[in-house]
Amino acid sequence: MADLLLQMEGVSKRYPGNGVQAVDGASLQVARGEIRAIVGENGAGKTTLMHIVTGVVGADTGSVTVCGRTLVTGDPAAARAAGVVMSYQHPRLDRSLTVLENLFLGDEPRRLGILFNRRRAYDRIRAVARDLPKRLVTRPLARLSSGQVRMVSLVAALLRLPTDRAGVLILDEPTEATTPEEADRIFQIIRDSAAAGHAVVFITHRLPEVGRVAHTVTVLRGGRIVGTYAADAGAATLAAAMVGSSEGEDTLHPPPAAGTHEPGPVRLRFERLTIERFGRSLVSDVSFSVRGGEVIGLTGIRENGIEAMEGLLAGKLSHTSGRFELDGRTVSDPTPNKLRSLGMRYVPTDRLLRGASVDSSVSENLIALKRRHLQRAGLFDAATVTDFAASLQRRFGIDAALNVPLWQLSGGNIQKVILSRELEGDPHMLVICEPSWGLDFRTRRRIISQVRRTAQAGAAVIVISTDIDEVIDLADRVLVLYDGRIVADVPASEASRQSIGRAMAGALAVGEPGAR
Amino acid sequence: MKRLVYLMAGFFVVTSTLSGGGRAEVSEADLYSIGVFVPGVVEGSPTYEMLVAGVEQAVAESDAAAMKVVEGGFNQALWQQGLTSMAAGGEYDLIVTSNPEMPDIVEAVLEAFPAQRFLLMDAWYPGNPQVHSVMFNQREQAFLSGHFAGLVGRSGMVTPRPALRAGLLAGQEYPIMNEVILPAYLLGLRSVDPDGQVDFRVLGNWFDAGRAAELANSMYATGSHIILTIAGGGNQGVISSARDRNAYVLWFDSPGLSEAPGVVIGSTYVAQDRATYERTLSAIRGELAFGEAEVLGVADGYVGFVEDDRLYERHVEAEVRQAMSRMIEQMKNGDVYLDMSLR
Amino acid sequence: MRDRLTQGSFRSSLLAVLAAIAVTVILLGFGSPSWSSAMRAFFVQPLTNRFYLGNMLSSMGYLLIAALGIVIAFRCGLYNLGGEGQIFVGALAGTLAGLALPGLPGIFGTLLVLIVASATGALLGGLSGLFRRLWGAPELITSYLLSAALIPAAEYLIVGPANDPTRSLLATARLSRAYWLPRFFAPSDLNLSFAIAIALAGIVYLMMFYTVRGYELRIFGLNEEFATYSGIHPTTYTLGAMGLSGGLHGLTGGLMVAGTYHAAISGFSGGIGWSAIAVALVGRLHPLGAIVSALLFAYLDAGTKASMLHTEFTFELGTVIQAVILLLVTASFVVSRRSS
Repeated sequence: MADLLLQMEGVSKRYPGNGVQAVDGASLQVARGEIRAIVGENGAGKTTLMHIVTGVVGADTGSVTVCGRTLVTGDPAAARAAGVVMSYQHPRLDRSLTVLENLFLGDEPRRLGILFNRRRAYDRIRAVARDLPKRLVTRPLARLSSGQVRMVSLVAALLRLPTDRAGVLILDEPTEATTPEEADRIFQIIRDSAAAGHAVVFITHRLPEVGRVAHTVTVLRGGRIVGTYAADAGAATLAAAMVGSSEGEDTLHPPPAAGTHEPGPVRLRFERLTIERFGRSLVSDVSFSVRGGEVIGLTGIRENGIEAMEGLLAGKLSHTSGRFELDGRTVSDPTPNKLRSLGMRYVPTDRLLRGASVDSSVSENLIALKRRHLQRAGLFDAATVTDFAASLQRRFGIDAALNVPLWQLSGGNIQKVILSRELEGDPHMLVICEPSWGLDFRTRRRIISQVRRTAQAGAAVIVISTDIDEVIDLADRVLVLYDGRIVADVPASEASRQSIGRAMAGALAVGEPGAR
Repeated sequence: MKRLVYLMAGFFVVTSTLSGGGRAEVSEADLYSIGVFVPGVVEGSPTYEMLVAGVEQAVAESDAAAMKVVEGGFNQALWQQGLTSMAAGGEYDLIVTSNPEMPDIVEAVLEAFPAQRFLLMDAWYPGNPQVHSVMFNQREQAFLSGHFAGLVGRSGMVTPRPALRAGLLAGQEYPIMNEVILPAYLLGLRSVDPDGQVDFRVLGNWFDAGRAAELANSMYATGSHIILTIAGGGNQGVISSARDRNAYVLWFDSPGLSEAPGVVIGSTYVAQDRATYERTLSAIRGELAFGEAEVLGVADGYVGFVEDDRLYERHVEAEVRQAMSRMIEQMKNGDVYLDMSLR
Repeated sequence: MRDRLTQGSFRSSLLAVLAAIAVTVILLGFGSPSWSSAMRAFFVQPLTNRFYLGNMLSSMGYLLIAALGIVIAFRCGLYNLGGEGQIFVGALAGTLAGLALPGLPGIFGTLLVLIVASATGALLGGLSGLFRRLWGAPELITSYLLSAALIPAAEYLIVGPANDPTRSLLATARLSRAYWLPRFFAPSDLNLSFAIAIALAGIVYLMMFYTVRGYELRIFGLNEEFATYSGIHPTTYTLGAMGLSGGLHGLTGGLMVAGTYHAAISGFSGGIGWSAIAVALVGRLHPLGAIVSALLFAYLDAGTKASMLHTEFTFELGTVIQAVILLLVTASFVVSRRSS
């Protein structure tokens, strides 16, 4: 048996704050020179698992052994000493310093104790990354593209690998925000590291990449390790493992009970929409439209485009090219105010930050959009305010008194408050994100039925969610984004968990139903 | 909430019981009660130290009086309030204070409390039946200072120079400073060197020694061989600057040669303590002439130059000392007289 | 994300004040030979004597208005630390305006002084708000720096070019008598400012909790992101709240001059801008709470002054007591932050 550099046995972690079991009894082994990919949906526990290895997060149970040394979890220094090095999904570099300074921050090679030894620095860089261009190294980080920043982050990790023995290199989404050429270079570096004897573990949500560079793949789902496969197992197998089958049902879902109805006018339209940031496309060439009475589900891995779509629809991001039309009117620079005034309502993913004011009372949260209409002679009319809030409370089943601060409410009730506020007045357009995330079954059903009713009343609804079941349940049509593009467009009645899952992972074969 | 109420009730019970005790002493209706209001802080200010000393002496001697010193602090905006508070209590038969600004403030206080009596030192306030004021002939005092500065400048104590320059550092500008002290100082200097100049600087307050040292450095560097310092707590800064540069300092209002032997080489004095003591004693005995304003000068024996001091003899050349003596004699005799301009 | 400043318990405020009083009581024992008379002087004198009582209410009024300025800014999530300068520089500006036009009919003269003072304060506050909107510069720092830079400049003017040479005080000339605010509790300083302060507290209360603008201001302070999504303009409130806060501070300065000092005297603001922050915090950033809090602070301050007069309290010990009070009051917020 090859030398095992990383062994995890029965590792579990539960976050006390929200009670989520992030990792549940995970066991895996990675050998010297092996390149292991870790895949799974959003929230499957991949990052938490790796953070346990690096000591950033302490495990509740189980053991982690690196290079034969069993580590006390939750001790980053011990992990580092054992040879564990990680490069993060969001690189932790200082934009005001140059690449060189970033690479050696805190660990500078010195001459005479105080002078920076440039030559040694370059030597060390060359030893781990042969073809890192020299002119790149002296540039300030702020002027690099995101792909180049990724590269720098990777090199920084490589530099911290032990030189005299084997180490474990962990990479979180190494090729995110990179061009194909940059990705290739990163893969080469990964191969070189493995060849030098280190174990490389990388988290990715791009299944096609797995086959190109990894030896083996571990699939995580719901915090549990589903299995470890050879890298040539094929995207279909992997996607199925990632997504699983829900409650042992058959793969088709019955159509929504609402039955058919005449679709209304086109309320939202996207035409060749592209959103670019820092030189890379978050969303490319997306075109679709939503009619009144229709529910469109947008799903995919968050970073693959739906986060950006939410940002656009929230008025936080603007598109780089293409058309965005609301009710026939072109919106060139979306701002929250503009979108609201055009009749759009929005329930955000981040409920507590964008969706509500947790320190304010329930009543104050409910009247946020209606505030100007509840006055008399310049002052709030207490009776009108109470009536309005109480009516929403009844209509949406909010289970709390009106004057308590919002933070005292359960997650379900908070979502009901937000929903009721946005749905009040029967809007034409609704964008709702992760509607039932973190909520109990009953509240889920209630919210889903609320959204359906809004659509029946004629609203055009976009549901943005990474929860495949939720999307299939709610939507009439499901659009899947991968790498910023629409890769699938299926009626919900024809969608299956597996096919959507495969599409999300970029693994939809040409010719499969709904593939584009 | 209930606990809170009990807590508060308990607190008030405790305070009132303790307050109910009140004054443990026997009623002092017979003692002549004197309040001393110090516009500033006693410590570090020669004028105020002498004021307090004078009243203390009178009180000790008479055996039928009691005194209390109240410091008004450096926030000038609060002086009126402080003085009014003292008068408001109605517990002082006499309030003694010292500062040229006091007449205005006392006038305002008297509007509210017309029965209060005041002894004002270092101030001019004639004609008010509640007030007796004593002004010192600071013109003579400044003249003597300037004369001494000139003599020293022309002596072997200082490297020879074409025209003399003497420094004057004031805590702030006020009418007496600008109209009396500064011109008289210049006059005194020119009595020795007709081309003499005075380098006049203002500290801006009465306590910042650090800044005073900076200003003194600048003055010495630009040719002054001696600085007359009238800056309260700032005086110490001038001393430290003089020490560093082997230069000299002139003290004002109280004997200051011992503050820094060899550095402070001359000192005018104003017998603030004696004047205060005498007037206070008169007041205690009911003999003080309220409504009058006095001016006391060299000839009266209340303004002078410190000569009778070993430090003076040791650090100042004989010729200078003799010349000073002569000038002082002339002033005592009335041969030289400077009129203290009266408002 | 819980907002500590407004939602901490009323109890912790009270405990802080009681602790401060307890420390005071102990220090009084050290500072004077007769503890009982010192206690009487501190706690009882300010309430029994017309002069002390009036002065106490007078300073309460000034504290209150400045504290209202803090309430508005802090509730909007903006930390206005330039209050002291806004008061002082505002007061000087108002005084200079009043001195420049000495012949106006009384009411206009007074209004001139007050308006110029408020406008100056508003300008200073608004500048900080502007810097924040334009460049993201934290108003906490810019407001403080602006004040720190301008106070010495104002002092220079008072001691130098604007100084009244006919008086021995470090001050400007006095405003025309007609511009002085009427007093109604002689011999104390108590004047119309007190009534203005109480009225303003009521107005700010109404505005903050019963108007749309007040609602928007509060929501903006609690969650800026959510506020933006609800259509509340960041610029309006960043500039507006800072400007209003600065304006109230400037008004305080103007009233202090028109009502009590009648001239801009060196150092007259005496740290009231900082005390106002403590007053506002103890009052839980509530306009009505600020009334009680201002009364409390004025009471403690009056007690300190009375002790200095009637016992052997030195000036320094008085300032120590005030510092201890301020320290304990602000410490109560650190403690409640940790325990939550």
